[in-house]
Amino acid sequence: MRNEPANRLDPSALIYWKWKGFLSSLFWWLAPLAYYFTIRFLEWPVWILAVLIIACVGITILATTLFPKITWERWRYDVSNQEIDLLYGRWIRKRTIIPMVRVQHVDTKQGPLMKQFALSAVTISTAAGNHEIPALAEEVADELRDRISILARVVEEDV
Amino acid sequence: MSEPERLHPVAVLEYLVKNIRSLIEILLPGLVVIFSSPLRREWIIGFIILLLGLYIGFAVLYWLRYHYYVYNDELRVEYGVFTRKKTYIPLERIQSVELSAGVVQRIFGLVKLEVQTAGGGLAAEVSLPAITLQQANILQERLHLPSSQRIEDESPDQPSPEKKLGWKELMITASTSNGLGVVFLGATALISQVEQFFPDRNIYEMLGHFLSGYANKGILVWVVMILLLLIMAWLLSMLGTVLSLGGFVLTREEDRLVVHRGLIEKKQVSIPLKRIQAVKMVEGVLRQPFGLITLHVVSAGHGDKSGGDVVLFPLLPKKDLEEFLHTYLPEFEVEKEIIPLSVAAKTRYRLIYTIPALMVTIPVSILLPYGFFSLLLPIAAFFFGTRQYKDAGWKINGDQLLVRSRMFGRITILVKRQRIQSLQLRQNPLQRRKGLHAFSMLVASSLGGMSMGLNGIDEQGSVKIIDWVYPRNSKKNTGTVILFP
Repeated sequence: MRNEPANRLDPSALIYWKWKGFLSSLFWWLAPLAYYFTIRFLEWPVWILAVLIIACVGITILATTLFPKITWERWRYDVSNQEIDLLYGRWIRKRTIIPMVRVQHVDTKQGPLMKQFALSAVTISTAAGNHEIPALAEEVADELRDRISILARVVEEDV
Repeated sequence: MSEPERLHPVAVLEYLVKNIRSLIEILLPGLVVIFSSPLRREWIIGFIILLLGLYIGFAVLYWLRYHYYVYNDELRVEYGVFTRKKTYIPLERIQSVELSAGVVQRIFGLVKLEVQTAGGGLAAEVSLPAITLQQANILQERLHLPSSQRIEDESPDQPSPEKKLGWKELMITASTSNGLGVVFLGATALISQVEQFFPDRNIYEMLGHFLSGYANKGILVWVVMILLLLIMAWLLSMLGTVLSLGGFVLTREEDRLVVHRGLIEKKQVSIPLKRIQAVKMVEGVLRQPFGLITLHVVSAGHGDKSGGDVVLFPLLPKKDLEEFLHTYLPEFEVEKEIIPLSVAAKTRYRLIYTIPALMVTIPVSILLPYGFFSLLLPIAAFFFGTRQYKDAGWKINGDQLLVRSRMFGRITILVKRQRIQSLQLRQNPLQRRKGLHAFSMLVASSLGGMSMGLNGIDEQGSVKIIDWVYPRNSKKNTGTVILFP
């Protein structure tokens, strides 16, 4: 029987994604900022500035509330002896299955922001591309990495 | 173990030619300073001769310090003048060995040998730029590959299956190739290059003046000129195809396929059968009506930049396909019937190009005089999408999966279950309402990975594919499958 994968990401992933969403949404604020300096020198309409600011407020609110929440709630994963099963996707639902014998190597990685929340991402590489479990607690990620590594070694196949 | 061998001395020349550009780039600022300095001319000339001498000396040293040999079932290459580099490749990791002969090599009767592994992208892991044919044959034997006498057109001595591309077929291939668009792009790039040489003149303006000189002679001249341009582009693309595919011969030597091709630069590619990841059959728009297909194979070791695959045979009548596969790719089979997409997916295919086309053409047809002619575009988009829907399909037969789809040409891919690296099923909110899925699979290729898949299969289809990729499920499993809860 194939059902929903059992495991969820770490609960602190939600806060991490909220912070990440907030920080990346700041990029959009460059547009109203640039426009603000433009209208100090050129006589362009001011209402565009208002529209830009409202749009940016909207983006920031979505990026810090709704988007991370949906992403977190949709993420499920499962690692059995035979395969890695991932279910994710905010709007487009995706189900990715990687046979264990195809796994070439497995890494964990941690960015500076992830370190703040003691999170790690597990990257699974096959001969044709990489897949990622984005935010697990450090110990869980390390344990998972080692487990996949051992399972993948059992059957060594060539490309 | 074999004795460490050097490259042919011509490799020095090859090295000098290959690196002259980077040398100039490095030295140019320095040279400018020296030339503008008040030094005597003799000093300057002496300095340049010294530099050139150092450069040639370095190339000779590079050649002297370059060794390759086979030891301990590894191909070992040791090189580098100051930093010593050692590349060891286990023989069983070698995906392919390619021989080619460019202009320099052909003058001296030499070949270039390149060894590819699955890692590291397009560039060859080991490249021996100039060795004698004899050295190449000995090395290939050591690497357990068949020696290749025929890069220099000597006759073969063993009767292995062989298929040649005749002149007539070569001409058909060349005249129906898709290179036309590439040539057009090339022409535009050329114009922009020319522009750099005349910075104070606008090349487009010049062209415009030139053309408008004829403009009063009526629209006919314009049409003739555009036609002439098109014909020239077409002839150029034909020439390109003839030069690269001329003398195409495919041979099967026991467990590998060997392709020889090229009129000016001769190329030889050797692909082990067990390294083939997938077979791709392309029916080009101009070729499909004549029942002609092009066969490609996907392998992790080689491929060109555009598709990451190798042309196994450029032009094949569809009726010969079964026999061809039987002779050259016995693992793969032709399918007569395929499973079409779900009827529910028809709307998606009909609208996917039509809606964007309408979004462009409606304003155009309102704002511009005669703009309503542009409404032909969404109509074309509708039929194009419908055609894509009709052509798409899939089929599972034993451990072979067929996926057929159309971009412009119709593409049919055959892949074995054990070659699938990962499987992904997707569902967007619209598909969720209709119970449809999209699937894609990754197969290893020279570009890292090739994706194959279809949009618009139903739930049953998805389950069938997932159970095919992971057969353990079908034994234990009689319960429900929930893909997207």
